[in-house]
Amino acid sequence: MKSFAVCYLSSLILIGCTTITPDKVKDNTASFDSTTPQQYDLHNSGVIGFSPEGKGILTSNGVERYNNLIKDYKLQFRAAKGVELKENDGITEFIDKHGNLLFYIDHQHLVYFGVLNSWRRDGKDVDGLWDKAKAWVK
Amino acid sequence: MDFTAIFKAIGEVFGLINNWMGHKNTPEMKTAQQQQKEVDRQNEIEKAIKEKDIEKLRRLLSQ
Repeated sequence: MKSFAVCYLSSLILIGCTTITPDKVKDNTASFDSTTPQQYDLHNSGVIGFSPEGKGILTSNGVERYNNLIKDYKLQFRAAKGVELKENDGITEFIDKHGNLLFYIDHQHLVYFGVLNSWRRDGKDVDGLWDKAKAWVK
Repeated sequence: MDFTAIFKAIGEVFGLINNWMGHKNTPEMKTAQQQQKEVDRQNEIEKAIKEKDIEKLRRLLSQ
């Protein structure tokens, strides 16, 4: 009886100890962007900085990533936020003081960019047939 | 020694843990947690933009 009790208690303890989840990896550096003009830091995640009016300044790679995210999550974003995003929404071209072609992104769309990027980093599935069907029914 | 009472007590403790975990993992709770996470994240992005905290924004926008 005693050995049974020891066995039972040991198994209970082991069951409680088997599930170990690793800590979530947190990025602490910006990603490299090869399309950044030489006058700027290359580790910028596609964001050069801010304009005096508070708009974001993106590289061409930053704009491409933003557009790809829109393409991937357009339907889910509309369902979650009630906003229909199209490629290049909120983006305007400009030439900086060094003669480089860069892009402004307005405040609201920069927030959307961040939200979409967080979905990608979380591994959220891109729009699928089910999302298309739901959008079609609505 | 009354093993039955001990086993019963242990069983009750595990029952309580199970109820608590089960409650925490209901679909409604999961949805609420996900929505809260989403709101927190959006607030974080908005704060970085408002404060023009470029390093933080770059981290949030990294791939």
